[in-house]
Amino acid sequence: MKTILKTGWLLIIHLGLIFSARAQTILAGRVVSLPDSAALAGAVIKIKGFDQGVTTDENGRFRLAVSQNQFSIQVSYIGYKSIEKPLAAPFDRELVLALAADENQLGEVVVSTGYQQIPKERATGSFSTVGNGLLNRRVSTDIISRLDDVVPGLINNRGKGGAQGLLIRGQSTINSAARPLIVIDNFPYEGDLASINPNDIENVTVLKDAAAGSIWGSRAGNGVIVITTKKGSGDRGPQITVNSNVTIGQRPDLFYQSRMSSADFIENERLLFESGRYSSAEKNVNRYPFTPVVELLMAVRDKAITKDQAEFELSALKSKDLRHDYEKYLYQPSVSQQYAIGLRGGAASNRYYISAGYDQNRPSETANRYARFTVNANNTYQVGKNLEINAGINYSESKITTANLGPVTYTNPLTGFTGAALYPYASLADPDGNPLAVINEYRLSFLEQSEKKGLLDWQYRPLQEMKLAHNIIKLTDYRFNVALDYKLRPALHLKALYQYSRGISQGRNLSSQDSYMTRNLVNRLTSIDSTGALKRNLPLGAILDQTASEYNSHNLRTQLDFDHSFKAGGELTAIAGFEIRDLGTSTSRNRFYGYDDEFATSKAVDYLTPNRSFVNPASNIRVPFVDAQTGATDRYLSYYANGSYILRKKYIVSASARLDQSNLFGVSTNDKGVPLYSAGVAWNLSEESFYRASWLPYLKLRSTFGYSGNSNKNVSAFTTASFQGTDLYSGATYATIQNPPNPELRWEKVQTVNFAVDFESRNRVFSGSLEYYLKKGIDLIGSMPYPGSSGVKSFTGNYASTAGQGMDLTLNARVLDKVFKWHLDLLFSRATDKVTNYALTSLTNSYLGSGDGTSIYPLEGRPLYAVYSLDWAGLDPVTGDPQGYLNGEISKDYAAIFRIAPQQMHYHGPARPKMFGSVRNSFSWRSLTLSVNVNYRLGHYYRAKSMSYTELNNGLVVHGDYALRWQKPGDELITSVPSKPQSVNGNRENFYAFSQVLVKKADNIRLQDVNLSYNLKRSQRGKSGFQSAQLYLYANNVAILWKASKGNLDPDYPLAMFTPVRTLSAGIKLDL
Amino acid sequence: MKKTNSLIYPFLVGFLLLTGCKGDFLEEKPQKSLLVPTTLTDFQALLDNGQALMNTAPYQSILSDGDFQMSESFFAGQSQLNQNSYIWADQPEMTLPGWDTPYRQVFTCNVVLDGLAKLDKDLWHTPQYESVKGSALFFRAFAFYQLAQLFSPAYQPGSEGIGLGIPLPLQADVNLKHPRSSVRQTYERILDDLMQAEPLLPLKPVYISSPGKPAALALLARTTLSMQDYPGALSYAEKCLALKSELLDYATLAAASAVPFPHPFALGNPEMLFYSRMAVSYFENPAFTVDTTLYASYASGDLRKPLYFGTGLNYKGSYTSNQYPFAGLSTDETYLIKAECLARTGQSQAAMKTLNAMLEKRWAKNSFKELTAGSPEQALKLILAERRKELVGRGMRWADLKRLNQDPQFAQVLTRTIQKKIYTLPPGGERYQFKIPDDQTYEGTVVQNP
Repeated sequence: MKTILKTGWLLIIHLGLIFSARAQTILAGRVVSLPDSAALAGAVIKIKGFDQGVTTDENGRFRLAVSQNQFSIQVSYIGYKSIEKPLAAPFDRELVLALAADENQLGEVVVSTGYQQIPKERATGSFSTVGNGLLNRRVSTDIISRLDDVVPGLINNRGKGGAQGLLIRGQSTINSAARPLIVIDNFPYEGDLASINPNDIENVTVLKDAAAGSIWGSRAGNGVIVITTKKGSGDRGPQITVNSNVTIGQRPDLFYQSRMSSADFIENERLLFESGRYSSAEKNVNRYPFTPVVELLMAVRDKAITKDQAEFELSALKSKDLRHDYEKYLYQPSVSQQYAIGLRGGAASNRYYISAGYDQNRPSETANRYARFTVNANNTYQVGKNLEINAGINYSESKITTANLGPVTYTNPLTGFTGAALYPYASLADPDGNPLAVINEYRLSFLEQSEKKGLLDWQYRPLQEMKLAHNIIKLTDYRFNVALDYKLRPALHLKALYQYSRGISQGRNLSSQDSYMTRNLVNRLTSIDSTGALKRNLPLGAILDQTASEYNSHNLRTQLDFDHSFKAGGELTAIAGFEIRDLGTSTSRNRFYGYDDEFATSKAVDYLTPNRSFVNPASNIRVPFVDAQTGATDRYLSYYANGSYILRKKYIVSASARLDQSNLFGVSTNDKGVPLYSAGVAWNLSEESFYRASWLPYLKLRSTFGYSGNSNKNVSAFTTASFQGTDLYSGATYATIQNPPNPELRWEKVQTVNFAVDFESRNRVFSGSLEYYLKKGIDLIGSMPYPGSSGVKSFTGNYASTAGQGMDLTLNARVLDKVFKWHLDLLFSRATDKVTNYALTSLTNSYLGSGDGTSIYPLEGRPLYAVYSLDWAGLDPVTGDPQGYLNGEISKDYAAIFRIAPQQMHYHGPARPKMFGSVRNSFSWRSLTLSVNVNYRLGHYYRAKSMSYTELNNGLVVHGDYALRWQKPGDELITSVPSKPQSVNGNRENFYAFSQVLVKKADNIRLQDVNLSYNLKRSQRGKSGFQSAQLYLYANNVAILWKASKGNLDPDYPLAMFTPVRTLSAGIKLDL
Repeated sequence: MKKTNSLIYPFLVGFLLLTGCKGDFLEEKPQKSLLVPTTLTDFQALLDNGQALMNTAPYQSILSDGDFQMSESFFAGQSQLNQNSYIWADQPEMTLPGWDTPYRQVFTCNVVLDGLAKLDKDLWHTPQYESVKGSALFFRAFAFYQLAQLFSPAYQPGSEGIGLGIPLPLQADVNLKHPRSSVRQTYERILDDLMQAEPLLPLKPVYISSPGKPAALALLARTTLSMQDYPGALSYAEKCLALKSELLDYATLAAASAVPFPHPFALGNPEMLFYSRMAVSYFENPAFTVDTTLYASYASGDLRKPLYFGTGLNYKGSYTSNQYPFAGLSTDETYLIKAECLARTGQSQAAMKTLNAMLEKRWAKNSFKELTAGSPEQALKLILAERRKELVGRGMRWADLKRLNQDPQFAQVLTRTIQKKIYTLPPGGERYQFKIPDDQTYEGTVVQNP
């Protein structure tokens, strides 16, 4: 850190010493729109090569001090196509600059890499920029979901485990972080993205290939998302923008997943009871609970009630369905409110942006809350002629209240499984809405006896728990930025940037003495001596759990920017610099017993002495000690350079190199660094004299090649161990081995080749780009299963490689462009990946069970996450047993079927879409604009859930397919659900669960969202006090238009309890 | 130009500063809790991972040894692995903790032993170094012993070179491939490790989850007994008892208690030489009950009957003082080894004296009558009967069956009946060796059991 400070100070001192002045003349001009020559207020005029600029006044006029005789000016205005014009002295006449409207925001000219701004025409790499207009088309609390369907190659995957999440152009790593690097205002963002207010975002640039991303070196292998926040604009009075909206969501549909009926469930409990299945559990020393039906059946057996009484009660239970209670008490229509206000303006010497935002969400889960408050201030000062200082602070505070329990669970008496779904005929409340008790961990009779002995009330009432819950997380996140830009010469700038960011998440979970968690723990830790006197080994009072996690990040960058036009017609743009990063993260957790919230006092407890559990006196129980701390440090040193040379506006060559070093643990110093580079070429074909296609006035070919990397801090060259805490036996601090030694460890590399063509027809009737890429993951770190005798079950090293390829097509068309406008924006992406080298194969079972994302089981020649199955030969017509194939013959030897080689499994396809994209149609007529977005995901598969007789035999709630099971010969023609077996065979169950018949195509097309907006025109604004106003309606998650597989399941959410709810938003945006 | 130069200067200074200090800057470890084990304290910390790893033992054998039975409904709810162990099924498991966990213990010991060898030679004769090294050797021997009982055929003197033992990794290199050794090599390895460990270990360890000299001698006695080297076992048992021979007087315990034995860590059990437990809690389940013939063999007045068993014939006598079976070493076992070896070597009087010394602490006050034997054979029978009664629920029966089945007069056929189907395990049956799990054998180096 010392170094950072030292360097920073040196820079500031030196920069402060140097000023200079030159003779200036004034350039005056006016900016108008084409073709109506209306004045454009707020257009930005810059001299090329200088970052500062001026903006036009209400009449579209501007004045600019210039010190050169010959230069180019750049004029830009949101919604209009920017122009660049060479000028030469004298400047005695008013210059008129006319801009043509550009309604396609994706055509935004400048892209930001986080290190520099590059005009898109000059880029060789693959960039996508999402401007402010498109970002605001969606209504959401967060920023990332606004990138869905607007960036080619970017997809937010659904699915399971590792297969889930944001990906850019497929995945080129196996075990390292696969998520894109997120950069906010020039530096990687380490905080929670939910703390960013989308109203403060100016634009987002996505870097996709090596030429675009390799400037980010070892963290760019998965692509980079560069987010730029709003800044002040010069030479205009203050402008206030107000945005406010409210979003209402439907109540979730808890009947989305099929489930066996209460009547079937009760019948099954009766069968299990009659077969004596519960008899050993009844004697279990853990006092496992039994459902009301089993208790009734036991009462009949023990002659406590008559059979008729029991049957009467049973028939009443059969008609109950817990899901109604869930819908009524656990879920609700969601309401999200968003308010944002921004103030923007400035003069030549100072530009500013100040904003505040408040979001308040009432989620679908009853009793949960979310609130976020954000404030931003950003100032840019022009000090003298050559020095520009930008300073900004972004502050965000969120509060997350989690009181909802979600679906209720209990301890299954037959397996001891504590997370079993509650029996389907349970009621959470009486007819008046008062919380009712349900079984949880112990048998009712045990609870009643215990209460008689003087223990605390031991009943579990889920709805009461929700009322008592006090579980709040407060998230504070702030960033402080300062950037100096000193112009050494017109062509050379020296920049120094520093960012400090810090985030603190503080959790406070107070379990009052009335909460089940506290009552249960107090009771379990109660002992009764021979006289019957109670001894509480845990003090009465609440239990307070506090968690804290925080990060502190320092970033310092020093960079030289060079931009020079040569007389021969060439132009060189280059940057070089170095960067230092230090990220510290820590977490802590502690608990207070016997806590009194009124006085904030707690009581001492004895953590070490084992006490006899009240529930099972044969077992020991200690007062749980949960306190823990962790600390981690990430350090990077990086050196980078990047340059591009343009010859006669036709030929572009670019190159980039970067060396990253980090404190990657245990790798010898030489290997700590990884040099990465890229190179690219582009050819503006349409600028050539032989180019004659006047219908296509813009045509550019470009290609890049290079490397970026992925870093993984979980591996080490040495044997590493980590301290785990205190061993309960010896009381000594103990350690476990994390990592066997691996002296050959290297950094992962990703090689990317990109080919692209950009085109634009006359008058932009259509425009777009087509890109094709190849990606190779080299030296990837993979966990490999090892035979048990080695002492490790898996081993991590640079074993693997992957290959990916795909294409991104962007096509924008102006189908109609008169008074009635119809614009079409089409995105199509294809991204495939496959594992090309993976040394060892795992058991067939692992691929089947976990290969689709639950865990990582790469198989050579297949996508990283793939859906496999076992061939299906239908149900046995005599017994209803599922049948598979073994050596080409129909077989029921399930154990042998599971022993087939992984290559013999049925491979369906990837678990993630091979093809995806969107079609957005925008219609506008006068002030009305309707934008309809249809998206699609194609070529992936999912495994549907069905019923399991293992679960049924354990008295658990099973899938609704139970009703469709094979029951008599002939049923095999209409169902594929196996018959109920005489005795449960685990392999038979697994065979069916992993059989081909349950794998479905997941292809789908959905009407994702619709935005309808009404803009008040200029003529209407007049005296009303605002410059412009927009009213908008927005509907999201509208409908599935088509899907490849039948049934009720949404193929992107086959396992979810319910699908994302449909929402409708209404809002207003005012410019004052 | 001058200006330019003066600004380039801080840029260069910064660059040099960064380059200059990067050594320290990049040496910071990424996780606070991470350590590269290099010191004696680190190695001790690895061996102190007791509850989760080092002081655990496989449990399969108590499902297979016939001393306990499951009710049909309890059986139906068991995992495939446990069902297969219970009925001696031939089908190998995909993965088997009873194989993997002891090898994880071996690996940890090898990391420690490799690391110790790299330490400065000046440290080699310090008590801490010796204790860590002795412990690592002991833990490795203990793990190999457990593996040999489960996966190797019984040690048959004279033909022990023929059968396949277990793989014996002795270095912490996970990439080395180890085929199975012979039975002889396996047992020689165990003895060798223990003989090296014994002089290094302290007389009295700091805690009972850590081995001391008596534990090493007790395990030597147990191992040589399995090898039917009775004079050898006798000598180790005597050496062990010379160091520690205390017995717990069962008459001082409350038979009505659900957990009658004193907590070994909180209260201390004087018999305990080394603590280890099986990671299975069957004994808390009333549907897992002791064999009725065995139960009937306890005479009235024998306190083990009410102390070991609940009224429902469930077992509650674990020396762990909780629901987990004890799998460590204790003095009562060593008394029994000594007695058996005395009988086997013709010293029936001394044998009975040793047995009675132990039994005296097992009976109610004033009701114990010393057992007598007229011949070594008679003494042996009495001692073996008492051995089974004393060590029930500790996973010892499996090794005893493997050894004693070689002698026709003690051979036993085990049978089970589940859903009217009868399963048997004859003496010397193939299933006295568990199948090695698939996730070991698929790789090809390790040969599957028949």
